[in-house]
Amino acid sequence: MAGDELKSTTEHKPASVKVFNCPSCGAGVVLRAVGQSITAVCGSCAAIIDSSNENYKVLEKASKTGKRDQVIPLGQRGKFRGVVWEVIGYVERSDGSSVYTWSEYLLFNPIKGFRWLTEFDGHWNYVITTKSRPTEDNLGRRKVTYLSKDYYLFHTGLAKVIYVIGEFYWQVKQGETVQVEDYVSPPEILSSEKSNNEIVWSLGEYVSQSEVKSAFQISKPMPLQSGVAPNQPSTVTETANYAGKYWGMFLGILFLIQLASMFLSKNETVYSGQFTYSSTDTEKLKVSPQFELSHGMSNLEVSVSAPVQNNWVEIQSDLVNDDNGESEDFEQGIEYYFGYDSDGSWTEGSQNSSLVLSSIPSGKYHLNIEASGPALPILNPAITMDVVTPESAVAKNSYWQNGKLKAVEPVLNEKIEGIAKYYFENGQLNKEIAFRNGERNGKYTIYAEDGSVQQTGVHLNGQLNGNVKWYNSKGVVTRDVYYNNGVLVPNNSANASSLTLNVVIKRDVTTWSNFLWALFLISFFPILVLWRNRSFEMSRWSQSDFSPYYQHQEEN
Amino acid sequence: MKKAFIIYGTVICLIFAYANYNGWTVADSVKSGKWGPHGHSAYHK
Repeated sequence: MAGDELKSTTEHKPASVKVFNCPSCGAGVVLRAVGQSITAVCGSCAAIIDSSNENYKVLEKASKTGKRDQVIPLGQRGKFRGVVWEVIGYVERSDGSSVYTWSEYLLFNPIKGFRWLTEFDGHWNYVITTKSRPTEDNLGRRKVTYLSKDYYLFHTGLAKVIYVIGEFYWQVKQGETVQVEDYVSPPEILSSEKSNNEIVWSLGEYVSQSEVKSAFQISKPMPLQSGVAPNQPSTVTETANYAGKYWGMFLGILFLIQLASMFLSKNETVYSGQFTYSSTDTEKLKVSPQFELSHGMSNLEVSVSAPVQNNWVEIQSDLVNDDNGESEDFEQGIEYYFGYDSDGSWTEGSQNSSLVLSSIPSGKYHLNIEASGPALPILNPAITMDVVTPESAVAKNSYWQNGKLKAVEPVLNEKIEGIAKYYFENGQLNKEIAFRNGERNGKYTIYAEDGSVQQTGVHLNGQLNGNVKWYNSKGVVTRDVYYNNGVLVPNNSANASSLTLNVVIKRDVTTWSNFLWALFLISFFPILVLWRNRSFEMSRWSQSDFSPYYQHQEEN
Repeated sequence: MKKAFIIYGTVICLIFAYANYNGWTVADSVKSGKWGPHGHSAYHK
């Protein structure tokens, strides 16, 4: 494409139409831009004729290229962007590899001059030659600036004229090749065409197929549209712009509400107390004194701390409303571990746990707490399990086949009650086990056949609880472990004589969880739109050698 | 779409303000956690 300005801007009279005979084949050649066009192509033999004067000299003889079924025929008029244009020339060009071809329609209006409509893969552009030369910037990503707008390099390559018909304002030639560079800033595309002696810049704007069809009343099917054009505007760009703008506004509002909530929250301590579990304590359920919650509906933060080390404790709590008996149950866990490995010292967990209860009404409350876990001190069964055989119990004896006594079990109300004794076949005492209510409860001793003590321990409700010790024949302890309800537990827990839970309850505290949820909810739509917009841009730039998205692939 | 997003965002802001005023908390809605031997597996590095 070359310059499209009229030779005289004062010449506003309608273009006259002139017909002359082709000097090559004699067919009639129509001139629609008389005085403006300098070459015309014979529609019959495709000879290129000098139309700048009435000598009509043949510049190039007829080529072998056949006729084209162009979408907009020569001479077709159409009102486009408020101006009546007439199609006076048609050029088909291809890239250097001749794989891609595109069409260019030269439009003429006697007042406005020349414009172009270009079509590639069903995508159309309305093109005008620029009035000034864009400034180039080759630092970083290659771009040019025109009228304060940046355009990024999309394509470089050759453009070769493969077919031409009609009349033109420059001396057109079959096979003419120029170096082309396309820079894009959707919906615009800025193109330079560089030949031996000049560079021509033109600015194209993406136009919809329907707009072209309507303007030129095209009845035949339009070219099938495929892919994304270099300067095709994204359907979601506008949505992305306003979504980002309103997202920022909503984020600001959320921050203001959060700041106001932080400023207004009372953060009032309504209860603070300690609950101690000791080895002599058989009651696991602890009850706090009554406390009062005010301020209508508000949240409640329950913080519990315990000095556990390499251990854990679980706390099950009930917040009971003393006014109506309603309760809210919740669980908290405290676990804290530390140690040393090849990477140095490490810790995990915390000795504190806090939990926020949502929207608790005002009223009088108390807290029920029940702790469990290996961090609690082992209940000392020896203190509570001093079992004796009741006098009213009846001894139930059993015997070995050799007639020796096998077992003596005291029975009361059909349950073993008291100290049961079991014997070896040789009559030697084997076990002494304490029972209560038919279950093993209390101390037990296991003897070896030589009469020495082999093992001692304590049962609680049928489970091993407390120390279990093994002895050798000389009475020396060979193993000493601790059990809690039948489960072997670490020694350090059993060594602790008590564990104290510190409980602090605060009313109307500041939380960030609502803010984070609200932020997530208002961000969902903008993120979706931005993702779609990015997908569109990636699709656009996938056709380019200068994509900002695929640089790593180019390097490979 | 634009109007819908503005209405949606405004409703979120209003719910957020109302929730903060009434002490609603959406985090840890079950008010429990898994503790015990399964809860400290990272201890055994």
